[in-house]
This record gives sequence, C-alpha cells and structure tokens, in this order.
Amino acid sequence: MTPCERLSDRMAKVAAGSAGWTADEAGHLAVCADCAAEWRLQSAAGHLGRRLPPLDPARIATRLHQELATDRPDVVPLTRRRPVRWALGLAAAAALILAVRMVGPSVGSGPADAVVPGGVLSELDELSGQELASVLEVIEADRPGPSVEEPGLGDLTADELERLLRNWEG
Amino acid sequence: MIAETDDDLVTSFCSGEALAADELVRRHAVALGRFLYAAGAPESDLEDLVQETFFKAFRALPGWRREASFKSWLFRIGANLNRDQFRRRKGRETVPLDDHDMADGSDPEGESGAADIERRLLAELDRLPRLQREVFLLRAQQGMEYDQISSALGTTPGAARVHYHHAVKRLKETVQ
Repeated sequence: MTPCERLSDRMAKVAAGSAGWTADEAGHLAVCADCAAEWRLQSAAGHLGRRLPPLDPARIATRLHQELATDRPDVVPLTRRRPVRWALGLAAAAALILAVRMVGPSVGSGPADAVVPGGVLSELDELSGQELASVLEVIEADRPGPSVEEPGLGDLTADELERLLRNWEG
Repeated sequence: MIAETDDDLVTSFCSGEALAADELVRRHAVALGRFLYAAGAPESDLEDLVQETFFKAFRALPGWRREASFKSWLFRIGANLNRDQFRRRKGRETVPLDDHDMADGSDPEGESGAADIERRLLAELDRLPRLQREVFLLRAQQGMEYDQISSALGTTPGAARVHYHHAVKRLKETVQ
C-alpha cells in the first residue's frame, strides 16, 4: 500500500475526529498535492448539508409513532385472507354447477363424463385439499340424488378423485 | 432507561419499548438528512423523506435479520427511497442559496467561499453515477468504513473502494 493509499484510507476517521494525523502523515500531506486535494475534498464533503436548517428529531419521532399506530400492514393476515379464498372457492363451485347443468350430463353417465369448461377449474388451483373437498361437497349436495347406477363423488377413492380432476383439467 | 447500542435499542423497540425508537431517531435523523440532501434530495422534501425512511425501517424491524448495522440498513432504505423520488421528480430541484446558507457574518469571505465550494460540489455530485455518488458520501460525509458502505448499498467492500476512488478523481477539481 502506498503512502497516498494509506492516507486516503485514514481520511474519513481523521475528518470525523476519531483519529489524528501522525507526524509522517502530516508531512506527506504537506508535500503531496494529490493527497492535499483529496483531503480538501473530504473536508468539504464532511460539511455538505451543515448549512441546512436542522431537522427536528423529536418531531420526526412523534410523527413516526403516529404513523406506526395507524399503519395497516401491506400483507393481509391469513385469517383475513381465508374468507376471500373460500368465497373464490364457492364462486368456482357455483360456476362448476352451472356448467354441469348447462351441458347436462346424460342420465346414467358418471361425473367423469361431465364436460366442464377448463377456465372454471383454474379457480380451484389455489385451494387446499380441505377447501377442495368442501367445494366438491357443495357440488355433490347440489346434484340430484344418485341413482343406484350412478355413483356419487363421495363414492370415489382419493386416487379416482385425483384422476377425475386431472381429466377435467385436461 | 435507554439502552446503549443501536442493536440494544432495536431489541427494546421490538419488545414494545416505544421510547427506543425516539433514541434511534435522535441518533440518526440529522446525519440521514444531510446524506439524502447531498445525494440529491430537495431541501423542501428532506423531513418527509427522513420520516418515511424511519417509518419503513421501523415497520420492517421485526423481520430485519441484522446482517448489517442499523445505520447501514437505515441509509440503504433512505437511499432507495431517494432514488425512487429522484426518478419521479427527474433530478435535483435547484434551490437558490438562502440566508441560512450564510452564517452570522463573522467571516463573510470564508463563508461565501465555503458556500461556493458546496454548491460546486453538489453540482458535480449530481453528475456522478449514482453508486459512485452514494459511496463517496457514505465515506467522505458519513465516515463509514467500506464494509459498512457495502452493506448499505448492496455491493462489496472492494467495489465500494473502487467507486470511492473514481469519485474522488472526478471531484478533486471542484475544490482546487
């Protein structure tokens, strides 16, 4: 490290008053134009903004407490998000029921044969297993009572249900 | 009783001690304001900008991982906010030097010379690339070490050193 680099590294501390120049450093500063210019620059930068009217930390702190007290966090807590998710799920279920009714599954056909528009199912992607099960219950409850030949969704195993959903989603 | 270090104060604030925030504001508000001003924030917006910086910092404090000092983190938030506002206002507003730019007249020539250097330095700082400007100010104005600067600006200590020397090279002429 050259004397100029050493001096440059020490300037911030000396300018802040937490250190002073050694005799060697002071001697170098007196004869090195580059270091003298950097030192003047450092001193000038240290004074930037000192002429401004001083900020009032007490007022800033008071405003800070007021803002923190009335702050609404950007992230909605889970307990407040769940009803929205449930509402989405129910809306998706309603759309699904409507779609199934409009297309009109033929008598005796199983749910796997029902034609469902793909867009409706995208709403279901976000739902957890429990929420999905609940949506399926709503669909099931809305369907006419199953005949002996027509199995209900509740009769399907988990694997069959999974396959059914995959078919629906294409 | 107020704890001593910034870290202690942060811990106290997170435990519900609201007064710890007052002490952190008292310690850093003025330095932050001077940094933001030199980095291009208009004088008229300074208090709001400092206020907003503290608000963002304290709101995020419970999740803060303390990878840097509180001061470095605070200055990082302030620098980011200033950058956002700079983009919106498209640069520094040129404000003529007011009465408060001159001291009480005890050394009018010296004061006027210092004010002139300050004006030229601010103008040159505006022309520097953003990272060079911020590194230079954190080092020369705030007296931060390179590792603190790198934490505050999301760079490495080596890169911060290089940015500082590039800035010094370009700014030296303003104080000749």
